[in-house]
Amino acid sequence: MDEQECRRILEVSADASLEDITHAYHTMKRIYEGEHSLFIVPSMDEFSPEARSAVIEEIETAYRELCRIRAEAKPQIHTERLSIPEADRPIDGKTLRSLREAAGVTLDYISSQTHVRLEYLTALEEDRFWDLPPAAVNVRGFLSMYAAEIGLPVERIVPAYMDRFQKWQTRRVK
Amino acid sequence: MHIWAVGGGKGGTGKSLVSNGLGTRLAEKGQQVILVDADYGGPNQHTYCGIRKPDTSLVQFFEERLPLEVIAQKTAIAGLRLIPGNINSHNTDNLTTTQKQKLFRHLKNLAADHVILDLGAGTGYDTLDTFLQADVQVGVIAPDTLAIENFYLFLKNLKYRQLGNTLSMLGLRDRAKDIWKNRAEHGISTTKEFVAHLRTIFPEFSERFNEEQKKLKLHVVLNLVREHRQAEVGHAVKSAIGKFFHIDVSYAGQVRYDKDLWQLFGQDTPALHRGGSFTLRQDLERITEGILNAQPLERA
Repeated sequence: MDEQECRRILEVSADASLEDITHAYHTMKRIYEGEHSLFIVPSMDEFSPEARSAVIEEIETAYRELCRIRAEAKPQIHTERLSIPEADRPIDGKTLRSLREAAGVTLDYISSQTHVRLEYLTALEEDRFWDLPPAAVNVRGFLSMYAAEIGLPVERIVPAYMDRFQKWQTRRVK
Repeated sequence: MHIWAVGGGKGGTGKSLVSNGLGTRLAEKGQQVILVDADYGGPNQHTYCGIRKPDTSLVQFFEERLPLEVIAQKTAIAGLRLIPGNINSHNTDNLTTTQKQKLFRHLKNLAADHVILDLGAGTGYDTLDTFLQADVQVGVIAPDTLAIENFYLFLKNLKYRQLGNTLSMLGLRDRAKDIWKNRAEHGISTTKEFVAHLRTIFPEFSERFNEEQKKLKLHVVLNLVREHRQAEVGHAVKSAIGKFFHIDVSYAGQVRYDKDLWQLFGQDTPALHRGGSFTLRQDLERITEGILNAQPLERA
């Protein structure tokens, strides 16, 4: 099932966002799965249980496929443009910021999408560790969402940054 | 010239209203439009047009061979003419297929930009054939199961009719009938399998049938919308037609219910004239534009 076919099934246009697609999917599920839906006429052969489950199956596949295609396409847009530091080098706030700016994503946008407060995102980029939540687990969560939103490889970025954060924490305790 | 057909199976869904609205809008856009009251059993397009007593009607065409050009009379809307249905005839709805086909042939030669046919309810062969032959095919439904059910039946009949017509054109009708009669021998139980079988044994049928199927491009109009949550019905039915009947379909839009429409009849002005129902005019304008956007027509 290619992207065009998926979009035909979910009845969404080429410029539909992932949000539009999800909305279309839920609407269709409501239309086609409801037992007492107005639009389904069980007396007709066209609406046999087999035909109906085939349609629902098609919708499910199209949605799954489209999500996969979109998820794959997202980081690919940036990977060529962004030069992510070598694996052994630590990543600081400045690097994060330059990567984000190279991807053309604003902090406001990331904040609106991830619901992470703007203050924390700024603190991440400015290495103001003391302004971040004290628990490393929270910082790691924020950073993962931040990186994923930009389309950065989370598994590469997060440990490299968290390494510095945790070192700072140990130093502070001493 | 483009022939528009407005149909939809169930009666009372607003085929006459929609036909009249399409005609009014196109005429207001500066096009020459002729409305034809092809609802032989229940003509009332003249009342929509504000013509209390039409001078001529289709009776003169069928019984006195009066040319349609002469029968088409002016309405209060510039550019919009009307061919009224059989009103003063003892035999309104028993026209023969030959007569109806003759009417269609003559309609094609009318001097106008658009000819709009207000078809009656039901799924008779003549109604189906007229609908299939039209350039613009408009189906009108209401947001209730009764109308939707009948509309689906109308579509189903259109598809069967297309199949039958294609077989007749190729002279394969009798052979196909034999196959259907002995379908158990051929391992056929559904229409889908029947068509698949016909496609494999008659390649010429396969090609022709594809061409015929392309001629069905449906525009769905949802009429009688009284509350907001009914609006979804139009989109859902459009979606279901594509998914379950595999018909090329677009959704033209909705028409809100106007509780004061009844008061606009019986006067000497058209029901949808300027100053009449604002919501109906607005919705029907949007629907006309919606159809023209979905199916751009070249000017003939």
